[in-house]
Amino acid sequence: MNTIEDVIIEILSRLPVKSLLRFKSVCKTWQTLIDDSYFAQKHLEQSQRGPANGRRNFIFLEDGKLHSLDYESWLLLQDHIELPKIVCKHDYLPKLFAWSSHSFLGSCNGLVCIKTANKGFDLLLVNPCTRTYTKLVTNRLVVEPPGVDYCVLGTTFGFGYDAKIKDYKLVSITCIDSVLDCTNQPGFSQVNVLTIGTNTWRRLSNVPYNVGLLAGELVTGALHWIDNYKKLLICFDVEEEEFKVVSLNQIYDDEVYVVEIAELGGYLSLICYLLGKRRGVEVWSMKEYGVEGSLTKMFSIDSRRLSSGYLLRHVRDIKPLCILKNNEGILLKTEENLVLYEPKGNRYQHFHKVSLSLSILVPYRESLINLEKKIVRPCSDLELLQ
Amino acid sequence: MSTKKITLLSSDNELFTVDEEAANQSLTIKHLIEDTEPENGVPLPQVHSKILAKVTEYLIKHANEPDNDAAAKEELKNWDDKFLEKVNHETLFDLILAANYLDIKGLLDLTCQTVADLMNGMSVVEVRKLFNIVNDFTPEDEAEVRKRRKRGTKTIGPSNDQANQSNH
Repeated sequence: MNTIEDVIIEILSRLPVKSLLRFKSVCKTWQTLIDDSYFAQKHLEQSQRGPANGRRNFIFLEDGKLHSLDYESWLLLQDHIELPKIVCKHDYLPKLFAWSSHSFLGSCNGLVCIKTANKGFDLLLVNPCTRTYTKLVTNRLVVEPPGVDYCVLGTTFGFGYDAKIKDYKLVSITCIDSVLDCTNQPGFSQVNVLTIGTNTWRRLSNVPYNVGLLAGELVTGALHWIDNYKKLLICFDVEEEEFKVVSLNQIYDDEVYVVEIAELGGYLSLICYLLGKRRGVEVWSMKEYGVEGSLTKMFSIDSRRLSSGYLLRHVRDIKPLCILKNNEGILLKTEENLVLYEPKGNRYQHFHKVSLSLSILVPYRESLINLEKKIVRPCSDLELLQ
Repeated sequence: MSTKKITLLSSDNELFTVDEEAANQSLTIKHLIEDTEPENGVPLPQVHSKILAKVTEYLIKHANEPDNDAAAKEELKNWDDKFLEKVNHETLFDLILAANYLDIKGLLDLTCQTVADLMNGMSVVEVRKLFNIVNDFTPEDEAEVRKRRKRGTKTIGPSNDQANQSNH
């Protein structure tokens, strides 16, 4: 066993990705080491153990190009700095992808999963940190309603990692409703799982939930959605491929319009959008995973204080991005601004120079992971015909 | 509570005595005691007395780690910071090697994180100096690295495969 190399790995695995990419220029040995998939995994495990659970950034689409937002650097600077300095354009991706019809399916271990709706069902797994990507052509996901009386309401996805088989999985949940049913309570969903390494869709049992259209939120190895009809938190164990539910009756009241989910401050958090007197957003954190009683209200955000123009924005355009250290404040994205809300003194700090348009911001963690050795050669259309 | 004493023998034959509980944080020492029960101290031929003195200082302080006491944890963290404050780079690397050899997780974490934090603000040239590394890249290599970093890379994918196939 080479002690010196072990020690170098121990030290380097504690550095942020940005520094590691720089230090690939130190010498050839370090370059090989940092590019190695064993090191990428070791670095990932180390960053998951760390207090901050790895640096988080956001990726979004602007003018048909992928951009990432390094908000942690921005928070350190605090002042009214211009956004371009912390926005990085990812122009290395090929132009042939129809970005207008893309959708983000989630992110896991630093890989952002993007669906490019070309002819088939093409997946792009991008690591914005290492600027690497893998294109995966997979079979079109076919969801057949069980009969003529049924229609497909929509499909949501979730992207996660199965540590047991060391492979990534894409989960799709398609809500199906009976056209004869007038109760306005969609009945069930069809669940399909794509194991990335084998590139095949498998169908699981139907579930009696409607989880909406937002991508699943990955927290502590499980994917999460909200069933706003049944007032449930839906958890999907990526390894076991089993669903669990947690009742959320406690946070729903007459003024709650819809609940969304996000990981904030290291906790699974619920974003409650309120109409009526309390018009705005409440952020609740589940301090003990899976326990309804541990839900704690962290922030109450008044949407009237967020309006800057004559148009009253929709509460659902307010998206919490991150919670500051010691719960001192919360960073929000509104229609086109970033706003820092500090409960102490009830302060709303607007950053008007920031223009993020209406794009969806998807969080990802910094990692060195790429799927070079994971992917088996995907089936082409030709092979499917044979 | 047992207060059995363990004697450790450094590479330059200096003896250090610590409680068994403190010594057991080192898995290497723990296994050596279990296997051989040495009479004249546990021989550690890879660790010099100068370093072993620091290591035992750490082991004694960390023998009873607080579980849920926030104030005690804070105190221990401050102690850790002070512990490495006046240590020079050479000693810091020797401590990492010792922590790795003696298999003391806490000390390895602490020392490696200290070096990592140190490196974070450093340039490539400064890092080479810190680790005594000679730059073995040619100017052409460096130009290529810069180019690739700008462009980004595709790892593998069907279009590559298909392109290869059509060449055959």
